[in-house]
Amino acid sequence: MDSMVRYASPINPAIYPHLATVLSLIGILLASWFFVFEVSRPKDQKERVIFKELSVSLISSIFLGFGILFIFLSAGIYV
Amino acid sequence: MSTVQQKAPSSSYKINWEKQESLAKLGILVLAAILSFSTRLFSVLRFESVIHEFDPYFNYRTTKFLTDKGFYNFHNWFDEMAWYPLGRIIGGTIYPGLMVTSATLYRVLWFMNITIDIRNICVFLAPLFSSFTVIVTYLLTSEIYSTGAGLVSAAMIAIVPGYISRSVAGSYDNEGIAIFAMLLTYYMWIKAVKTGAILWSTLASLAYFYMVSSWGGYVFLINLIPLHVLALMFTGRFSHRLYVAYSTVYCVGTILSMQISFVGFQPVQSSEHMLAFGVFGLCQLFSFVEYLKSKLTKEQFEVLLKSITIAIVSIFLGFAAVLTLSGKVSPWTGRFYSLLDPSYAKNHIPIIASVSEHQPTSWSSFYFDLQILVFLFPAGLYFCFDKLTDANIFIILYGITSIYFAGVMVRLMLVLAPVMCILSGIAVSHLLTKYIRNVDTSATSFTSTEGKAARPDVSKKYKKYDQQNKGVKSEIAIGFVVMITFMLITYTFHCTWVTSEAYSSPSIVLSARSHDGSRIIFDDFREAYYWLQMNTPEDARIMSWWDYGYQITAMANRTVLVDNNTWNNTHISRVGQAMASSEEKAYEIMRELDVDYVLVIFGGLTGYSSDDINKFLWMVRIGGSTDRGQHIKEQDYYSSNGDFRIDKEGSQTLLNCLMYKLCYYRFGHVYTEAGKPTGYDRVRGAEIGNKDFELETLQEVYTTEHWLVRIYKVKDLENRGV
Amino acid sequence: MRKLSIILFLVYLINSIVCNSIDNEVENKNVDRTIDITSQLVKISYKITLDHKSKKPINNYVFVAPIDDCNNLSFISARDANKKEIKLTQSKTLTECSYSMTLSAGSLPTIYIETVYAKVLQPYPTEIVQGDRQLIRYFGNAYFYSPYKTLAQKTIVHLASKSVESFTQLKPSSQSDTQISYGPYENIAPNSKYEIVIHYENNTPFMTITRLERTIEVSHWGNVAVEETIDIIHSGALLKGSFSRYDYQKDSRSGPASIKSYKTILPASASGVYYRDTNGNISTSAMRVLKDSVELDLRPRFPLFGGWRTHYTIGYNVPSFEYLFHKGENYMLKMRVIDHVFDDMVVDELITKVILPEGCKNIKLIAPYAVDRMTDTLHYTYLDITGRPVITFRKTNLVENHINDFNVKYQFSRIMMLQEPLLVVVFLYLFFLLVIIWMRLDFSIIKDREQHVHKD
Repeated sequence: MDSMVRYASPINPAIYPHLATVLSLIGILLASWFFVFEVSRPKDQKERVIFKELSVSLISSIFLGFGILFIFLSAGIYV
Repeated sequence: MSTVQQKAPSSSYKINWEKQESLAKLGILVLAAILSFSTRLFSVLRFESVIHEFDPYFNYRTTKFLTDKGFYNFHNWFDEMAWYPLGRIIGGTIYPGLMVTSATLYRVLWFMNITIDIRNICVFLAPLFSSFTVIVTYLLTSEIYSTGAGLVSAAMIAIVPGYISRSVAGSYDNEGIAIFAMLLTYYMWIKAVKTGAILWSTLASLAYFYMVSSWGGYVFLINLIPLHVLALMFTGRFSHRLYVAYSTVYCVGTILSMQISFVGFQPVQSSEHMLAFGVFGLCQLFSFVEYLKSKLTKEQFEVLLKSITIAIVSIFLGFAAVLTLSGKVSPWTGRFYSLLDPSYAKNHIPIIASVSEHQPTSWSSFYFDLQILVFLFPAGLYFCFDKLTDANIFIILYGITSIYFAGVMVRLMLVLAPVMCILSGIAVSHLLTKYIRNVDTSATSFTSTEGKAARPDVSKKYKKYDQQNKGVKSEIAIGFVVMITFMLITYTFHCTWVTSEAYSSPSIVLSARSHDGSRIIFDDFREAYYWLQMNTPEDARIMSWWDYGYQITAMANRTVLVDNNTWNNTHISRVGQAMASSEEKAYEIMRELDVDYVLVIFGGLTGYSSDDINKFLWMVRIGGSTDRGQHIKEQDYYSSNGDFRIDKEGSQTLLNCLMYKLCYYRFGHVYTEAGKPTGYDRVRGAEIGNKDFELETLQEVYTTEHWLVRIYKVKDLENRGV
Repeated sequence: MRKLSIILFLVYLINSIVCNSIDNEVENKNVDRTIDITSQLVKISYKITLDHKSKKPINNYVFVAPIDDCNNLSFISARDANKKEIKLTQSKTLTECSYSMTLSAGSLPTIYIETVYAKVLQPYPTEIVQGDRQLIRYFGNAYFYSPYKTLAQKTIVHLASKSVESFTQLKPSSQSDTQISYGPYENIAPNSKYEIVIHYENNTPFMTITRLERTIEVSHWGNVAVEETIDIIHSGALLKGSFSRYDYQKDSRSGPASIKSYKTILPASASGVYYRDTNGNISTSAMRVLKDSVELDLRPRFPLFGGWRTHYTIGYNVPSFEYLFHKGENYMLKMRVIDHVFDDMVVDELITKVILPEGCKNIKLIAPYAVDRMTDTLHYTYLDITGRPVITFRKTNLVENHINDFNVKYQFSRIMMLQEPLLVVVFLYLFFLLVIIWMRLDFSIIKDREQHVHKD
């Protein structure tokens, strides 16, 4: 007991809202780029763009995922 | 996508252009959808996440039951808490679409471990579906006219007050999802008519099924679609595509709609559905005739046609007459008559007339709910007439019929609002497309800074719709564009203002401004209902006017005698008689009805005007409308001058009736306003006429903080010999 | 096996008899008793000075409560002359329950005992009308009930008000202001009883919490959420006849026994406080942030009269660093079993639930007093896969003195915190993949139309 120290969150809860805004904004931008790209992609050039799509969507989902987490946290839903 | 038909200068430019276009489309649609969701949240932000009004409380209660007990128990639910001692079969007397929708949403979310309270799902369901409506409106309008018009109308429907009034957060009512279902059905129907594909027709009937399951207003839809078919037949636009579409929609749709137990056999029996059936028959005949025509010579055909027509018409009329007389086809119901003849209900059925939302619409409320759409609507109609297509005819019919119905009943403004948006979207889009081409580049950049005017950039590409290629002077064009932009901006301001001021009060929590400008909250309704829930026996029966029935069962969890499902006129009338009788007479009625508590709403202290005294004349009328209430005459409750007065001038019958006594019990000692005598009623603006009286057979058990709700206990019979 | 258990039981029985055996040579030299009946609780504190006839050291002392009192005894604690807590061993017979304590050799023979009884005070008359004062009867014993001989004793009763309807006289006894004193009495034989009845006015809130469910949810993102669901009943004299709002508003002193509002004290770091019931938010409450606590002035939707009940939920967040400690992967949560709801509260049943983060292992509960631990369950909420472990325990008949800390020790790996965001990331990525695949699929039956257009 004596050797135990107080436990605080790894990230200061005060910056949760800022993190939520920044991360999800970046995520949304990337995701919208992805969707626009998908919708208006010409049908003929299929194979060249697959890696681009995969990587953009991966980065976007990482940003969005953490963004959503911090939105949850700043909204008071402590997961 | 049709854009590929355009000539493209270079491939790289083309991609860029396409990207811009889809980005703009996506952006506008997403923004409109988000806007339509968030503009409905005023009341949640101002008050809290709470269900509004009266009917939504019933829907909320049934939804909770559905999520707790499952669908089969819900379907077989006999509710003994309403309409004591009759009870009500809930499963067979409601449109379950709303409850099933939110229960499904709830189950799905919980399955994904998103543990949202069912109340919050109910509160936010209507805003969610209005977002969906935005998207469907876009699809429908782009199908009818053009993508640009689609975007404009999507943006318009996102904030149109006529629709917001029934779909704010917390207004958990059938209409909230029904408008979405209706527009979805229209979209599918237009698709079906355009393609003649069984796929789209089946989808249309599925959408129709959803509509039937969610709102009684489906009758409008099942008459509008046949009307469309009929109109197309008369204008010589009948085709095999239409034949396939309508036959599929009618057959599949009718069979599906009969699965809803509340609808049952009405689609084949009631007169409201006969148009659809008739048109279905006509379709078969028409195509049969077409077939014969192609096989026979002209003379043979004419003879055949005449004889067949006469035979069929006479058989049909005879058949219809027999069915109507034998009662197989239900007679025209009162609510339907009041649609055709606005004065019908007022003269014949007091209970229908007493509901405020069944009143005819006033001119001002058209402007209030629709603003510039009222003026753009005819323009949109004109552009549709200008270039008639199968789809356009549909929207014209929809517009004209719904404007009639909206005029008859305030409630049906809801049906009008989407078509107003669609037609106005068409008008705005068409006009801007026409004029913006004559605006030079600098002006374009000026207007595109405004959110609304950016849309013509998109619709600009659809030049093929624009037949009149006459140029206008750039100044006029600029002026026109600025004007339209200005109108659209005022529209947004108006909508926001209306939403925030008129349609965002939960009505269960009232708020007022005090003298120093701070906000006072009157939470008396919940106070009283919670008191009932906590401090009365679980099987206590509560008598109140039917308006409060749903709220009492949902929030106080107690049995009520009458509620907002006004299916039994005599029962309501009996309650009206009790309220309108003298205390002794009322005691007999209350003993007969087995009443434990009586609840009245009284606004005299706070100035809340929709209280029971102001509704009292309806109680008298409804109470006197049945045989047992013959002794209750409306005339007895008026003063000698023929006014309804609660002061000394008022009639003695009124001053001694139960409702009066319950409302004003001990009120005669209270000072309500400075400089006024005690017992001054702030709603009626008069000092009450009967101040000192005691209650013999009832006992005050609770009165809320601001006296809004007063609850009395009916005393037991006295012991014999005492 | 069965024989063994019988033998064990016999051993236990003998042992308890030996322990409880009363040394007749021990005497209560002097007893000062204070009975506090100013609130709905009966708090009796004793100062007992012991003596041994043969001047031997006293090793064992037994405090006895008659069986009627014993059922209502919520809390008992004993301290020696140095204010050090003495451990009590309880045993119960058909007529009484006794608490035996072992005294350390060196201590002075003085013991302080504190007892709290709930639901002993009876309203009389049991039904009153709105404007009436609430009269309460207290049934007690004029003497200190003890298995030992008591040489000298004195009792002081503190009342809630000056107005006393009646009280049993036993000379010498007297009333002065809000006090009644009995004694001093001398040389009272063991197990003496003389029933006294004090009938007096007591308008302090008589409220019983019939059920309190306290949920503590720990998040390693730096938050501990507390939610309490409370059922309260006004357990004083029942309201007879009608409730008149006019009378209630005319005179603020009307309905002296009713409860308009009460104060709940939350931890100083509490934030995001909410107060609601099944019908939504209860807007009538005021919050004051004090230096070492947050004081909530809770007003139920309606004033509580005798027999009226209400139900509500209150919740708040506190930062984790105040209650959560760790060393490496070992964590310890230190929180209160029950917290303050109102002064002098009585709780019939308490259920405390501790929801730990997903993926906790080796969970150990250390309670400050005996509680019934219920079976552990799993709780599924946002972004959970395997569910969060829930520890539940239950205790009945609690009072304010039970506000005490419990510890929950568990192991948790920090990597597990990433599980939740990664879940969202994977979900989104799957969705994107679906879109990519969808765009590459062609569902149309007729292939050539699109190509045809391109050829143009």
